[in-house]
Amino acid sequence: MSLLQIEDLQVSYRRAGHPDVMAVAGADLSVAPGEIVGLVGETGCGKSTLARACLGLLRPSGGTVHFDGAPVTPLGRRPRPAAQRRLQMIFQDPFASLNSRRRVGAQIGDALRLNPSPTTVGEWLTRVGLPESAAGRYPHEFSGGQRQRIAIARALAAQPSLIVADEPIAALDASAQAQIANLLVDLARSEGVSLLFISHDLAIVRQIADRTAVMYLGRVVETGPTAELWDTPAHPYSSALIGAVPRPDGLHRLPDELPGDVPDPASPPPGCRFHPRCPVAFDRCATEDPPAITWQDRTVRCLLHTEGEPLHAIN
Amino acid sequence: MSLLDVSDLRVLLPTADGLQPAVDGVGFTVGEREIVGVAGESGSGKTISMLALLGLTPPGARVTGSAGFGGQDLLALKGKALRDVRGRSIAVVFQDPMTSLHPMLTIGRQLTEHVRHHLGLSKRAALDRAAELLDLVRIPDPRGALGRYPHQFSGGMRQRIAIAMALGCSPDLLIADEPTTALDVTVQAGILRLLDRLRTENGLSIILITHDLGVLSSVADRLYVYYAGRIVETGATSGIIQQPRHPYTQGLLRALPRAEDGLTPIGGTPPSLGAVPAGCAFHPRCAFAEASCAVDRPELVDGLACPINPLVRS
Repeated sequence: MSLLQIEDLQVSYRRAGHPDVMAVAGADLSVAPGEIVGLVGETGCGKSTLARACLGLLRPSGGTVHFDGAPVTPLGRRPRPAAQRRLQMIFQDPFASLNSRRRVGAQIGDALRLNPSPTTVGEWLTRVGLPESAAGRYPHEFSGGQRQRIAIARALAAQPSLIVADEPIAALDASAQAQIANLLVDLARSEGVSLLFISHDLAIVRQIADRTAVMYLGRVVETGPTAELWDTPAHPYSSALIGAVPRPDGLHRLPDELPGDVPDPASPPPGCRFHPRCPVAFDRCATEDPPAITWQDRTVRCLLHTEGEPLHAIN
Repeated sequence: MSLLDVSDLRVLLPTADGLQPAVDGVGFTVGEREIVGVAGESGSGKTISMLALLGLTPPGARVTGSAGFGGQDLLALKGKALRDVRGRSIAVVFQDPMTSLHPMLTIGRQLTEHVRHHLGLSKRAALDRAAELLDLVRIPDPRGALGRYPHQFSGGMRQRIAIAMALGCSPDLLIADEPTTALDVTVQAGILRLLDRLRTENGLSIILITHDLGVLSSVADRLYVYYAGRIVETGATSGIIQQPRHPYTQGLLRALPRAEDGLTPIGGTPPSLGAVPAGCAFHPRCAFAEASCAVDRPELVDGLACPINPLVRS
């Protein structure tokens, strides 16, 4: 039973004078209770759009998003429905997501009132490594890393069962990235909260996620347990992403290049969306849209695999 | 014989509390066809020491030391002599290519302006040169690209164009400041391969500034590790990455996501300008620190500014 279940999700953006852009074009993803799922992919692949649709911040043009068994309805002017209050979010830019004119304590206090909770603002500040006195201060008095700690405290104070974190460490200094990633994961684990961790940084996701989902041009092309996906990537795109990560091993090894850019989502290539950049594409790839092939706990959309047979690594 | 030989470089920056040292006595060299990596956290002085070489420090800053380049001292150059070096012999590429590209001028116009200025080429010759440069950095359809604007290219392509512009006057040295930080790994891989190819095929020397030791591991020959305005460790890349000697370098490597061990961040935060601790600047964050570390400032000896040398001890 999944806590978050996304099926065939489609989200389009309207553009005046241009065809609609389908940023998410039939994506499937699930997050189980207590699970940490990493969602990776290049800029423009639709990761953030998918996150916003999960949270009800965008209206899908097709498909469904279910949270805790109930459909997620797009938010309007009214408060978030009670059924979705255990769904919380952390954004990339803590400068934008915190209210700059309210004290930190008041903002965490709002979250505490959302769901019955025996905890206090001071306890949450302590748990994210800030002094209790921070409650009386304003967001501008803190550094980027500290503000992201406040955002984490606010999300967790609402007693969520799932947190969607969209690039939560991308805007931080290198030294703060590891600290904040560790903090978020440790707290999610100790509270039993599921985490959908969206990042373009594969190395971080490899380190923290139980399961990894790889997204390309609006589709989730591969999902699987992180270690297996990393060791034996079944989709050529996953393989290319992994090969492009520079390794700090001192061996002077140049990372592998993936030629070309992500195509314009307004006019995606026919067949497999990755075929124009794929090093192992063959004739069928240009015409057939690859179906999802599942073997045990892994799923891949690539014509090199056959339903009912074990997946093999593509290198 | 080094292409660039910097010694005892100090940069004092104006702050509310008067001049404060952002770079406090660093020395480094760059050889012919060498890629030299400069690592460190933001605020460690790595960018400002490169800008100082080109006379690009903010008004009120004071720069001392020497920087031998092609028989002259860069830090003694002024006016036209400095402008002739800057952009011609030494070129710079920044993290955000849009800082060096004008959004409302065509790529062709931007790529020809400085080659016409520095090299005195005719308009037609300059356009030929521009197309040649775009081809060198692997921009598809170079001739067609000359008539387009920066927004019509992706982030990775823009960075390639910024590199093409930097290469316009065939510089001897390219300073690349976090050139791939804002890019996806797939695009980053292409830029790193391009830098490596420019070194191998065009004989370019490169200073690559980045906090990403993975990037440096893949292309840099030698490394300088900055902390709080000083160099704490230097040597061949493979040696430093495989056997880091300075506790700070060890911390940087442990903070990287790697399969073997989890993310282990360095505790504390780097000191801010004007509040650098006495003795070894890293001692408040160092697990090996002894009483003497808070008093004696370690000098760089045999590529290491740490008298304790935890590698030998543990």
